[in-house]
Amino acid sequence: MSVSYRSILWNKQKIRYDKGLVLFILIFLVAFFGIHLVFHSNVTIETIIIRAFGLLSLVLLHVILTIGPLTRINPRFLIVLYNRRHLGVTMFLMALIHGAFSMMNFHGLGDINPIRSIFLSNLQYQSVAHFPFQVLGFFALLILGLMAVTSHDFWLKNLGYKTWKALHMMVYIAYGLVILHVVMGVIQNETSIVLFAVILTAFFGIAMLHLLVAVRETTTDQQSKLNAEWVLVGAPEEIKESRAKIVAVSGERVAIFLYQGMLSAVNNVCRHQGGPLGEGKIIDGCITCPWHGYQYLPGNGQSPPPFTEKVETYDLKLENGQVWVNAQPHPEGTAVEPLKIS
Amino acid sequence: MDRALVVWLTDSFLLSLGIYLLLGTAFSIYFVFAGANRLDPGVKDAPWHFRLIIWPGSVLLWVTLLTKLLKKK
Amino acid sequence: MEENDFYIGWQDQAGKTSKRRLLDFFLVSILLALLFLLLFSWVEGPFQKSTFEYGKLTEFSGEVIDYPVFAIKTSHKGEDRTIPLVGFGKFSANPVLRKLKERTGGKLSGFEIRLRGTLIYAHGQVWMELTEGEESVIAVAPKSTVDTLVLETSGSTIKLTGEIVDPKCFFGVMNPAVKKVHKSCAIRCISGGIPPILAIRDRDGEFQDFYFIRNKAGQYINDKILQYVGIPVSLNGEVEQVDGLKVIKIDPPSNQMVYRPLLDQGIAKCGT
Repeated sequence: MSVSYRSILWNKQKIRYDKGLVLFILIFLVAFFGIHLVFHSNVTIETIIIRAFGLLSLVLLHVILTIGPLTRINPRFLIVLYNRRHLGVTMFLMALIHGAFSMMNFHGLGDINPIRSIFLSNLQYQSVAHFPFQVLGFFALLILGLMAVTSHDFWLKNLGYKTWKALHMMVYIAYGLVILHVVMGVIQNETSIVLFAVILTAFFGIAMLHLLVAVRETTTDQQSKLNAEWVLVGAPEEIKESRAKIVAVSGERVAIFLYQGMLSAVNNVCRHQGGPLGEGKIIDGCITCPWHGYQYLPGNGQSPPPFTEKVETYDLKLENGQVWVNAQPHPEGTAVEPLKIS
Repeated sequence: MDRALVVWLTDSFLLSLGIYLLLGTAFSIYFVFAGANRLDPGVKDAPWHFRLIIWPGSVLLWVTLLTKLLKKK
Repeated sequence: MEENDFYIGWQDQAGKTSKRRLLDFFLVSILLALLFLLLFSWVEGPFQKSTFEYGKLTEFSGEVIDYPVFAIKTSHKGEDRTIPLVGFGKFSANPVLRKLKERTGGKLSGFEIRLRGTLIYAHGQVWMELTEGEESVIAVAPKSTVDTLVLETSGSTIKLTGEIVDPKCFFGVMNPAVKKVHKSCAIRCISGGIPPILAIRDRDGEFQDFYFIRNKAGQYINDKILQYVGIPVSLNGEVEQVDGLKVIKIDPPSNQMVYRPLLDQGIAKCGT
């Protein structure tokens, strides 16, 4: 994007989404506080705050991690993905409240600096059962914080897509740390095995979802492994109007779009956040990314002005009723004559 | 674990982190008001709260941003 | 897919199907979240009753002792009690004790002291935080009658199994104040001079018996036992009772304390 930045680009749908998020948090917190004030009235308010915000951020993190794979399985969930960054930042803030309260409560007003105390109170680093689990939470919070502060598009553009994506893939490291933090912390504290079972189920649920998507995508990639100059796409009838078919071409995915009796091929990876262009649609003559609505002209892979994003384009040919794509990409934004099919 | 080793590791880590963030804070003041404009023309007409939004990130990622700014010269 | 299924982020209005999916997602996730919340609330605990009268100061008059713990012998709610004293935050009240001794010339018996602080109580015990530090001592006056301490010593070594806790949190400032989640806090408190206590559960799992931990010479060994806090431990030592307050005198080396083997075997089964 090369227009002026805004803090948040609000629209009605986004506001509705955020209202839902606020409602989610309110329902959760009210329920948690209510249940504890009635059934666990002996617990101090600090404990309730620490546990409420800890559990809330744990739940939100699971929600966030479900969205990605869910949209790949069923594109109808794409609307949940959009604005996911607000979910992420909110989750970090909830975790920050949990962390800050825990630090003040357990480490504050003591004989050493509270941050040092997180590392230096419990020294059983060699033990599994006695491990200082708060250290794990500290590092998880650090990673989530780094992700939260770089969630604006400004960072995506100025860090570069690869760096940004690598930074945000660290959510899986943070997730691992959070799971260990919870298992070695509160779950070990409570004698019931039920909580351990629940957290294990959640962890395997998330892992299975990701694995399922990974397997599906590998299958797509295997459809045409040939390193030949031309790769078979298939019959043009396979592609629906204004939609695309994705094929793997020498390690890259290419999206072949059909529109107004013409075919154009572009690289499948959106330059915004790496969204799958081939799962998008042509709207007002532009390929529109399903993730955040970034647009490209099918004929040259360029975003319409004033935007500046560009993707690679590919040559197409028709032989015996079958469409073939050239394995050699043109540089980003190169105009290619669309393939006319009668 | 040896207490002295853990103390040394912790203090080294926290001291480095502290120095890094202190330098980052100093850099971020320059960055949000001037550096960002040079790095990305899109910042120029952005509202003040946009600068607030990019501020914490510029504290944390100041080395990367400084490198990018120097390369731009 | 239908035409209106495809939603792009910058669109003001999403199609009906997309909106429906968003609502479904919202409903399913809030439902699962609430289920998890209910399950968590159901299995956590139980939490015993404890009180910290935060913001409310109470005054007591009586004689002050410094062994086995800095405490005031007074009456509370019509009952004679020895109320141990701790400092603000995660600190002991030792600075107040030192200052008090300066005023009385090193002696504690034979003086009627008036103190003000915040009450902490649970498990049938009453403690007090000297919230205002040295300002907590309101009056020091000589006393005509002198109390004598009743000391009982068993003389033989016995083994006690329980959890080392910091009494300030344990008797009411925090709840829960035992086991792993509270471990680092208890370490901080004991490191700050708050006298460690071995808390022992009865058959029903309720904490009933409490022992101050000292070395054989009767001195504090807070810094030697920090890593044994918040986990089930067994202590071998001589037990004595001073005016109803129990003390276990142990040798500080670590081999005196044995991790209960059940600890290292199961993750979810810490403590009993």
